[in-house]
Amino acid sequence: MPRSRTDLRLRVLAGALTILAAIAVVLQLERTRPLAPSEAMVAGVADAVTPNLLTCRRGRDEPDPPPPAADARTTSAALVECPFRFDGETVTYVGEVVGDVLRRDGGAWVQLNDDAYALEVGPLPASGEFAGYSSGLSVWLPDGLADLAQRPGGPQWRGDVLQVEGVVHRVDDQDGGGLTIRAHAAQVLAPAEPLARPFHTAQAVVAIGLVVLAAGVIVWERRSRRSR
Amino acid sequence: MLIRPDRDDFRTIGFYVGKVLTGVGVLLLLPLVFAVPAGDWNSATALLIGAAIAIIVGRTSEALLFTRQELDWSHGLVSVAVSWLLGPLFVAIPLFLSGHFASYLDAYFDAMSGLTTSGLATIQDLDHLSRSMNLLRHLTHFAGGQGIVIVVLTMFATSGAQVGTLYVAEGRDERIVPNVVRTARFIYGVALAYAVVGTAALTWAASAAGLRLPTALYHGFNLFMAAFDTGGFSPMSSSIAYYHSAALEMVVMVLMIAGTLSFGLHFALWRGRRRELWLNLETRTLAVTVFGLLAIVLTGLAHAGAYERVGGLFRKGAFTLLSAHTGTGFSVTSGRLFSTEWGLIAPAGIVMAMALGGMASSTAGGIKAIRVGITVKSVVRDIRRLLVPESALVVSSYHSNRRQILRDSEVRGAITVLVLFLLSYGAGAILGVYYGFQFEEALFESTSAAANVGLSIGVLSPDLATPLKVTYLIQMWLGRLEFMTAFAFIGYLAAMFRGRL
Repeated sequence: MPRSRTDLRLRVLAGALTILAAIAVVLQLERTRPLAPSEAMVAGVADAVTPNLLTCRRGRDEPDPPPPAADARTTSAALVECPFRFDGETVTYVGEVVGDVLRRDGGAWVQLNDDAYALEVGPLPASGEFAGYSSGLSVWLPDGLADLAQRPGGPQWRGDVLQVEGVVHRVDDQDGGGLTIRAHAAQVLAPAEPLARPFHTAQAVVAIGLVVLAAGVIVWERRSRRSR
Repeated sequence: MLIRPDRDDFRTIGFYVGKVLTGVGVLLLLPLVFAVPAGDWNSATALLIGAAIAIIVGRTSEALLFTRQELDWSHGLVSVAVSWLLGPLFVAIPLFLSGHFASYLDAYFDAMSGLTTSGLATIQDLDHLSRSMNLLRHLTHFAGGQGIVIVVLTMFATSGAQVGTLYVAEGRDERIVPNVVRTARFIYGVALAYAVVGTAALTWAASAAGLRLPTALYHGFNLFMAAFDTGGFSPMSSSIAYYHSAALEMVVMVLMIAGTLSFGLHFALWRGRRRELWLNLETRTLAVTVFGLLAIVLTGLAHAGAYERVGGLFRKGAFTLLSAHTGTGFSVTSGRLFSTEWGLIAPAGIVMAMALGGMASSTAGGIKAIRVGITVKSVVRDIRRLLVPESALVVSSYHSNRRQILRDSEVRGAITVLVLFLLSYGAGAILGVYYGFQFEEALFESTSAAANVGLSIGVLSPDLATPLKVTYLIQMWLGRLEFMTAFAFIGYLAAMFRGRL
């Protein structure tokens, strides 16, 4: 019986160290994950018109500053931070199609992400460069433009990157009040490409070793249970 | 006087925690059904590593710490508290190895958020996450929502008496049938029945929204787990807004409501006692708070001019209110719009809804309707006492499965937890202000974390200061265990080092 404080603390410490050691192995594996960055930066993307985000709070802040020119690129972050500044304005927006092309009568809804993974560093699984949350906007592509979104991005693909010109709807009644862009012109800036996910050999070796060890522990535990 | 725990105490706690960790290992194997057929070997090996480590630690603990000692009250509380701290540590292994988390802390945060059915997330580039890892995120809601400790132990334990304390310690204070094991099985039976119907309905709605059938089925199953278990993770970063579907939102709302009803009420309805729906103090309280707060939110949105038409006002307002009140955390708008578009009144209503939460013994978090109802009943009783002669005996009662006399001990317990929740919301908000956020935004995020909701106004991000991130993490843990279990654990720790032999 561990009657002394030292004995109790040692036992707790030993258990904690075992778990920490396992986590250290996991950290090392993640550091050595092979990457396959592609041509990450999408060519032809104009600089964003609002590099410094302006946050406006409805009913509390000063009147809107003038909206951006239509030929400069607007970002989802700028739109979300100050929607009533852009309401009804025609904007240019660039983003990667992600998820699915949701076809409806007269066109399709697409999610266009304009985060760094879409336009700058490429998808995280391939690039390994962390750049924050995914962010984007819902864009309505009418028939004729919807076919430009051929291959959405996802686990296996970096999706088509589209540049759209359209009208911002702060409250889109045809989308139940959502913040949307209804495009009237679009072009593909970069076609979709498959995401390379190189096989992580070291991780596989560790996995096999641990599975064998786990099987051994299960057998040992069952035998010790039977012997009791 | 604190009594220092001895080896037998540690043996008992370690033995039961070991069982739970083995269960966590089994959970981590389930997403292999997607990873292996897809040839996604990096995800498969990540899942195997997490599962193997959990099973090795769990089984070793079971073998080395085998005991036939009955669980006493303190063992149960500490076992649950430790399990809820260690379980996410192992779930975080494959999540971290997915390469979508900047640090192990972030992966642990999301694992804790998933298991506690909170739904706050620090995952980056979610829209390129592999399907097996995305499934794992949602499975954590399903496992945690039903109560991972009780589920695992009822799978392995033969005696209901052994796990009775764990059942209560995990925040389930209502046994539906006398035997805890049968109660847990009923809970999973209800969940599985809803899983079949809910997944089918969501698959249909997602398919009608434009997803191909296999994708619709995948989204439907994941959304079911997040909705019924009031979790809030979603397969896409834009949450429910991604689908542009009123039908899907309706199905999700039904599932969120089903998830926030107590399993005791589900049992009563299953037994044909429909009157329970109208008589139960919790359903009455929920009805009053939902409709009252809905009126506040809609008035606030109209006052702010956030929506120009009634359709949008109701669709966005009602969904968000229900998502907040049920503790789910799905969103149909970007979280930043709460700050930039919704004015002050509507977000205040959402914060109140998050704070109150759903029913006790459900998958929802927050203060819970039973405590709110009991507190209000107690206030009314005290007012009545003031108005009647001193010699008069004022007795108050409420209905929860049966008519019950309102006792002072129940009132004290309800108010204690209520105050602890309020203190937690406030403490997190003050820390948020310290880190430079506006008070209303800090309060929104803090309440969302402590009430296990998951709606975000934009305070949480992968770059958030670590102390604030850890605070939200602790709030999620405390909120899920409803404080007392966590406090018992802290007391146990103190006894380890300061108690007498």
